[in-house]
Amino acid sequence: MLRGKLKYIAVLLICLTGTTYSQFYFFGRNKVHYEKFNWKILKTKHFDIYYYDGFEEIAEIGAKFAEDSYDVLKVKFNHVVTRRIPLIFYNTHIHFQQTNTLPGFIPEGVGGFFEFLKGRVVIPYLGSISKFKHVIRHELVHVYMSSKLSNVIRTHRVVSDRYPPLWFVEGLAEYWSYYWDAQAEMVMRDAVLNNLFVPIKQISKIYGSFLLYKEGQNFLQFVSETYGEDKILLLMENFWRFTKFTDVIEFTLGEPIERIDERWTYYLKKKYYPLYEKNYPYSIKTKKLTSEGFNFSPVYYKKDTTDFIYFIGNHTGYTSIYEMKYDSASSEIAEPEVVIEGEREKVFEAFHLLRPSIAVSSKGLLAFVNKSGPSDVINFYSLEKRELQLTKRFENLITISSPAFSSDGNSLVFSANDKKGFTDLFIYSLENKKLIRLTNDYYDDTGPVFGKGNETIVFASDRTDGEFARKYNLFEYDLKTHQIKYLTYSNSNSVNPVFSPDFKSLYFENDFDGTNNIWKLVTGKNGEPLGMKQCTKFFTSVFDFTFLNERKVILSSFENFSFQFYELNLNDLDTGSHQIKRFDFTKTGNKWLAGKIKVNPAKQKLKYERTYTLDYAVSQVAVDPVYGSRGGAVFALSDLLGDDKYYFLIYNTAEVQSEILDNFNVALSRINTSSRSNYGYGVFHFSGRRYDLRQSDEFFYERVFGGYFSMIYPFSSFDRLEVSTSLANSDRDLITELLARKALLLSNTISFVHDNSIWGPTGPLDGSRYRVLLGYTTDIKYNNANYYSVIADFRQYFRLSLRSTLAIRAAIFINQGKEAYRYIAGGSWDLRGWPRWSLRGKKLWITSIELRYPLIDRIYIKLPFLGINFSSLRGAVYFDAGNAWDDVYTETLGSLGVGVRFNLLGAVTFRYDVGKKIEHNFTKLQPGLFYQFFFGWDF
Amino acid sequence: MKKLRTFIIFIAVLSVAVSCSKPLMFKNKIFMNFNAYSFGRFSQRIFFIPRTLNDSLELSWSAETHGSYSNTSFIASDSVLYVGDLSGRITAFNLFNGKEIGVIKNKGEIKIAPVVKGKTIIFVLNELKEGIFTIHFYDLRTGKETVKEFPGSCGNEMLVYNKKLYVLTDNGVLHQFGFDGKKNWEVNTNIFTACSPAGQQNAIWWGNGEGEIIGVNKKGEIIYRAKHASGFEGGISVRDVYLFASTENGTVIKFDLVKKQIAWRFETNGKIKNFIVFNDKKLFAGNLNGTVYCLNINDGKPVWKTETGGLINSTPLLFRNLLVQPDLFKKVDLITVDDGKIVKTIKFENRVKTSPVYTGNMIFFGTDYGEIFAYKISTK
Repeated sequence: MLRGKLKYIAVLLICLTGTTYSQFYFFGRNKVHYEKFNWKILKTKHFDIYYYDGFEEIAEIGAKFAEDSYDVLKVKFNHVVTRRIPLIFYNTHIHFQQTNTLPGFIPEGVGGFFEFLKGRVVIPYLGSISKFKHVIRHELVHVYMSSKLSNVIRTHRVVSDRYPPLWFVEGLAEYWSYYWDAQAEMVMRDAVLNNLFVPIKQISKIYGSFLLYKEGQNFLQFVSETYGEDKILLLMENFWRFTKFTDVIEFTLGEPIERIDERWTYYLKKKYYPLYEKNYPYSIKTKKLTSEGFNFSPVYYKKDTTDFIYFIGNHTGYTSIYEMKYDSASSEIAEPEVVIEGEREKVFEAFHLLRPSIAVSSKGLLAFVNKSGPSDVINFYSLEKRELQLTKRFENLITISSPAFSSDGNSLVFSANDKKGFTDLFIYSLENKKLIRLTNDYYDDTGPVFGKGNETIVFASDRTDGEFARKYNLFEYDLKTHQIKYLTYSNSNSVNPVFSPDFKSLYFENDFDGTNNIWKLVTGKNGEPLGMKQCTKFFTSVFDFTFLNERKVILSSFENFSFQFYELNLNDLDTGSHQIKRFDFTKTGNKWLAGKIKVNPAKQKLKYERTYTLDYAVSQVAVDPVYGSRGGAVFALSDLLGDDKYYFLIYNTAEVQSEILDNFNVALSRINTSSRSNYGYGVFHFSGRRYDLRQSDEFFYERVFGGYFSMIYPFSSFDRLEVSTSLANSDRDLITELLARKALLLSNTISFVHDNSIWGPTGPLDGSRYRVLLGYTTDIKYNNANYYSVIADFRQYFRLSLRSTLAIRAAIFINQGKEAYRYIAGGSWDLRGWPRWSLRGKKLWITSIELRYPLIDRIYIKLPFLGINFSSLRGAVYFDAGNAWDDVYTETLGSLGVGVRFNLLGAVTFRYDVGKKIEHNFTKLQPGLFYQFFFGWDF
Repeated sequence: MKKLRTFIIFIAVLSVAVSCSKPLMFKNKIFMNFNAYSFGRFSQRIFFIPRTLNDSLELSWSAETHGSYSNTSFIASDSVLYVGDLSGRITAFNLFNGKEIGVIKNKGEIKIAPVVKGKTIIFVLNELKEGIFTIHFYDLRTGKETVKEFPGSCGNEMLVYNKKLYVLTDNGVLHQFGFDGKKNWEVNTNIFTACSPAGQQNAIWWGNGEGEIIGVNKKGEIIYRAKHASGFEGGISVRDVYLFASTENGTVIKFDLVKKQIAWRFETNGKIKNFIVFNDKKLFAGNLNGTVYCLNINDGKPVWKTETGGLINSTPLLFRNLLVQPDLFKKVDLITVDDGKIVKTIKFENRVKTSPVYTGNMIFFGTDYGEIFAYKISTK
């Protein structure tokens, strides 16, 4: 996120200075806006809802949910949010990831957010109306909580330097937005039964994890059941009283936090320990097949006589497709190999780790889904030839999941979201290359598979009506009659249907007993569905499964906060219950319809027009013993969607009153990121006495004014082209020599930037980054300056293991010509051991080799009154070489040594290096050691 | 330059002096009124004004306090309006022109209305950074005060009954005081309580978080304690031998003090945080959903209901013809008693928080962030 923000600031600063290049540039991936959305506004009683293109119907449904949630939450909070709430909807997660309301990148797991600066709520539609409702309510709880606490603080006139801890913020949003579902149950069962559970007093240990969210939700449920629901509101109403949130809890609940933790722990153990009687962990009933990373979507294929499992995993940090040999007789865990490496190049830009997205045909064709450019594509890869045979992108389909081949391998059925947001079923024929749409409505149709003879499609959907309306049940789509009929009908959720290899039995996952386990459809003599029978009773959920043969299945399951594969023999299981949960299809009814908001189209459905509001305003007045008093301010404005931003900078450096008018420094910039090409332009005026390390050693007075234009065009997430041009009038007086220099500087640069690196806690771990820049600066009026610039900076990271890497950097910087700027080097960021910025020259080369490895993952220092937690200490062994020079190369300098890096709160990395300098033209080591402490990410 | 410096210092000193408030003291004031004034005027918590209100309200003055308000009200006595706020201050204003008279400053929260009796003002302060609350008996003539300290907090309105002062804490402890600050007794019911008590039949009555109705006599003995609901919130109001209360899930109940049983119940389907108000024939209850119900006081049958579109958290004033209902959604609705029509809506810039006070042909409203609005009214 920070890097994303730096992108804008860097663009601004580069242009404002009027120089053609900067040595301290940035890399970073690109947030590509592949499409330009046609935004509209739906105005309801309390909300301004922003949506685009064909998303109107789901936006109207979302608007109804929002208004309903508003009414529920005003009662729960005993508070009203009196401002209009902006609610921005994206029709898919892929579009959501392009939002400009946040500068940084949005991971796949983020289902929406509330942004404090403008009070915006930004939500993607994930294909399911119930999930949409959940996320809307969740984010509105954030809005309400933020407003309530702000009101409590302000009305009590106490210092507003406090905010509740993350576990409470997210726990409350979950607790007041959704029921305790199978996912929450799975996480808490795992935490309690596998000793991962952390009480409130030590909850900072799991800061930022998903467990923290669910523990927060569970704690509030416990408070409600034990102390009363009203105590939750009281926790907020008493918030003004104490600065520490644990004091608020103790006061509100009337007990010490240790006692509350003991009660909560007992509450959980009492709830989950009895599961041992009938349920079991994976370690008891299965054989573990993987141990690293997260592993999903296993599919089985037999090539000649060897069995293989293909799956999606993230063993290296990049999400890729893996191949793993399967030997049922072996007790050893096989080492998976990468088949398709993802997230390094445009064609395999991103894989969807958490969604089923891989299938294999009887003909040895592997179909897998990945994001490439503006939407998902389906790739067809021959396992025999080991080559990609076809990449298929479908018009109007944005996200794709759950591919499954027909038994003859000629057709592929899958689930996809279109531009309306609908999640429907589609069949793609590999023979005639045609796409057929099976369903077309807002019900969430997922996990389709072909039935026996390829005459039907079995799928899961929330189209369930009647008594169990909106639950996910299994349905059968007849490809001849186009009729849909129920296969299951229960007050629980059935998903991921899988036929046994002989098509005699249909298995699926169901959350009837709290978490997703495998169940089997029970049919009558004529194949009519009668009920369902539970096959497994694991504590925690099964995510995906596939058959190896009639008896054995491979499971992707959650245990010990990890997703691993397990081999299970269905015959080995005795669920302890052969009872059939019978279906009563007489309870089905008419289709359920989602409520929509009713508005006056002329007045309440409007085209989006940009209006700008202040993002931030910072001002500063300083008094300096040398330069006297000086002051300035920075303002930033942007529109509600964050597409268009204005930055205004003003400050004055006058030392005496008569200089005030001459020493105004002003800059105005506009940066537009609404489309694929991001551009910025602006004007500036700077004047004052300066000393520039990159130039001669004198103080000088300079007045420079002009304008600039800059543009960035991303080819993909990894590569971009940057161009900029500026025209600046520069009048400079050397103070010591009373010399004057005038110039009208025209500067042009062009850069190509590549970055597909992935990062550890202190810097990049894998991938590569490079930048090549060419620039030319000339004085078009007086010919006082005329020089060209070349920068080539290449960095490659060779992964040695999951958390260690060998990093290599090679860079050369050249400025050649009249009045060329100098580059600077020395210090912790490049040539370690040498004093910071002690090396200057118009030419500079640097190379570094660094081994990065984990040192200590966590140190917890427990003091009598509090504990201090340090995490992610990393070690480094390095070697640097390089030097800077003007005209004649002098000598090569270098250093080698070891260092420790420590990341604080994900925001800043501290670095401590010890080593020896290599001196005298690389012939001699310095006698002692140097010690250097600084901050900054690894190169 | 020297003149400029002197001028800046003068302005700085002046602005500090102007921003400082005077301590609240009436050295020469003659206190004419020796009745005790508390929330709801009488020990039965009566919010009915037997007059007909003209709906053309005219803003007379407005003023500001340091902190904002809960859903309590202000207290008027001897031409002075006493305002407790959530920043722990009591501010006194001239009732007729809104001029600030003085301030009592403390650190904490004043969540409930003070009690004024002659030259004594009594207020409850929930202390900042401490798990305690204090009861202050403040002499308005001398500025001296007697302070009593107790654990926990107090959000239930104080009660004056039979010349005694009653304070019911959130933990369910009822304290009896004399107006001299002397504590006579306390009785601990050990149950979370968010329901302000009322006095009737020589006893103090309230409901608690467990749904019990409790009666305590003047000696501090529990004379009645029985469960009648899942939990009570808001406050008790009394008419004859009947208590009117609301439960945590929005059920209005009429409780017969003689038969010790519920006479009737009515579900409003929304939490009620304020007092029930009534006249001879009708009863009015507004809930957090923003719905106002009018019921027949005898049998609890609904007469009408009105959706205000807001959130009702504070107790309305009831005139013969109109219900003056504040709403957190930055407005006050004037609703006809006969048929529930909203005949007028007065809009404010902030959330209307307090229960309105009627005195001297004026009505006072308190809105968020410490604003007071005094409206002139005409009644007959």
